[in-house]
Amino acid sequence: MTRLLLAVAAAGLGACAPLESAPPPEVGPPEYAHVTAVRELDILAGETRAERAAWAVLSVDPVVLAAAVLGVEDSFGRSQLFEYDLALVGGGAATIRSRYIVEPAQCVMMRRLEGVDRVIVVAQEGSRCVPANASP
Amino acid sequence: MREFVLSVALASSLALACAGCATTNTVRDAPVEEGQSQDFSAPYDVVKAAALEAVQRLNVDIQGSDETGERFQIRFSKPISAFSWGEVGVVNVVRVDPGMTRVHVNTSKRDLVQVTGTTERTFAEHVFSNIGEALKEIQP
Repeated sequence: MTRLLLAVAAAGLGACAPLESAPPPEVGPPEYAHVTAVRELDILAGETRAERAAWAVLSVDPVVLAAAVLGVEDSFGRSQLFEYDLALVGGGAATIRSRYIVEPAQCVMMRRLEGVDRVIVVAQEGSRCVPANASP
Repeated sequence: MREFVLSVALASSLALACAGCATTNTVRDAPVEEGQSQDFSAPYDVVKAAALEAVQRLNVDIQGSDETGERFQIRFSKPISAFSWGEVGVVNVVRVDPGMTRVHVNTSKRDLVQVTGTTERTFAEHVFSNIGEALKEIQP
């Protein structure tokens, strides 16, 4: 009986902080490009040590507070990603940020997304990056 | 004497609390096949992009990605909230053959004794569903 009550309580509390998926964004047309440069970035993102401490203070438990501030890795507040310079096959250049991994000189397809600050990148065969008007 | 006992009890409790914590390393260094898995009929390079898009649509913090000869991995964490100490997880994308790719979702609650929070099955259902939607958009 106790286990059943705990399970029901856990399910109820879990529903208060649900995992959610944002609606899929509109995807733009494919653009092909060569990667000309790659830079690794390490940015501040996600939760901070102060936020964890704030939640821990609410627990009114010194052990929980100490564990939340000292015992949790600080990488929860950082994010690594890549910045790519692209030479578009259709002409022009672009700089994008992504967590997709490609090498310099590689051919990629880029799809811009409507209303969100990210793009889709997919590695491609080199033949995809040959301009349409190029002679064989 | 009483203060000494209290200090020892506090230190022991703190050590116990920290020992019961999962970090990103817990799931990052776990075997690739651990967790829930699903196969997708698409090339590895395309599923990599779809998996990234799938995770980026979730209300989680993405900590990074890396690639080895064995797999492409996305690391994420679900933030702390009033009802959970949060979770950590990885999505591993693995080549099966040129037209088939397997995705593994492996997550852990940061506080290993916590009964609330998001389960691995729930993470996997969202990720696999989002990958399916992304593949329809990405694949020509």
